[in-house]
Amino acid sequence: MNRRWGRLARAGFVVLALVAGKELATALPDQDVSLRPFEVAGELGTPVELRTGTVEVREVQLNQTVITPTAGYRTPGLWVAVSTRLTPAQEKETFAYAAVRSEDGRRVWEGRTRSSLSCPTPPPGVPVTCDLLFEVPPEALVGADLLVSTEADQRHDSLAVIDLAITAEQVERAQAQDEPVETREALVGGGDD
Amino acid sequence: MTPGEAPAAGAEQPAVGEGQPAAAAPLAADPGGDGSATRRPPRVAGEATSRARTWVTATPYRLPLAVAMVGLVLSAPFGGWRPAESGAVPVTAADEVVEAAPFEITLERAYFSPRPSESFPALDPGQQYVVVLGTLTSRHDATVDATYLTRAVAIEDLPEPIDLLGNPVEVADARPELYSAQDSTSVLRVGPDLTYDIGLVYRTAADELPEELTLALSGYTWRPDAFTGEHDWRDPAVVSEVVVPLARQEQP
Repeated sequence: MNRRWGRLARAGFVVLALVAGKELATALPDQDVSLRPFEVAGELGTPVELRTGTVEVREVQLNQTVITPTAGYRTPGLWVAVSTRLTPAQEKETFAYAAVRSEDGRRVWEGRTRSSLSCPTPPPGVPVTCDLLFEVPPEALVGADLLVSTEADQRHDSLAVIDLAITAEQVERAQAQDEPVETREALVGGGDD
Repeated sequence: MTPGEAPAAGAEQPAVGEGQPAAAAPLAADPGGDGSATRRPPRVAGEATSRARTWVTATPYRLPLAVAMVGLVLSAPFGGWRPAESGAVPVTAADEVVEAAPFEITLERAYFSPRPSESFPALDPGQQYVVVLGTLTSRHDATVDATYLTRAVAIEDLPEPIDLLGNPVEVADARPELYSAQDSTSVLRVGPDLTYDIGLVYRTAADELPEELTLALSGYTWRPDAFTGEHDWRDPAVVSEVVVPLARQEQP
């Protein structure tokens, strides 16, 4: 009789330990938190220092239609064309990740195609300026930030978070605008213009 | 009636406060002096509890069995005894929203044409495009790859489907290309909360096509991988079928 009760008690203890272990594992921060990137904040027109180079957002344009050198695109939201300059600090660095994040941080939009990030790879110290394209719902644009990195995997690495300074008036004007925005070819080199 | 026995059904119980001994009064010695003892009616609830406790603790295996039985009974008001859902796939009408996580999809109609517009590459003679029109919205909090959608849409009755190279494929392996109907460009990634007018583009070598097409839409589950812990949309499962009318493309 005591042996049977002992067996039941042991089984109950194992079940209890499993439940407690699961609760502990789910309550602790997961890997995404511990591996998160180091965010470097910046503003429109101000260079932001990353581990691999310097990033600067020079201009932001909003429109429902965008004409690129290869095709024209319409969107159910608004196109955000961000003229961004990268001055790499080492070789083989270019834009590998870029996205627009909403002000509350709950939503992130990347480009519709992977070519929206295509940008030449200049030598270290030589700047390159590219137009990065994103489509975002108009209601999420005010206060949105640009996330940009030269690494496809930003874990444990620096990530520029640049305030695009988009206002509600800009969004309204863009929604009413008929004339499309044209993006420019990538520019390697160039001064401070 | 003997002590400890429950009173017979319908037997009159003396009302408390009418000068009669209370139902819970203890067995007393002969107060009436006539040789018959006043018996306290048994505590029914107490007796049942005592018996239950004795039974449950008689062996170690009865306790978990008793807990399981109680749990089964208690689950009834919470739907535990509801009939299981049948395996039939629900059918959604065309133009109605299907929630196939992380997407919300509507499929409206389909048309076929050898070349719908100049933006479509020309096909070999005898081949034609079948384009299914609808809308697509992603409710994920970040941009997702469009392959999650193209893998979640299965066309069930397209005759003689072919791939991009013109080779025949099994209908179960026929995957569409995803285009934006607004600008006829390829959509490779879908951002959150944007409702696209889409075209799902198939190719077929069939001359005769049915008057309607059936498409099965699958939804995913957002969960971590068991080994890496990385979250992704996994485990596609059919959530609905949609039947759309198919007709020749209207000429402008």
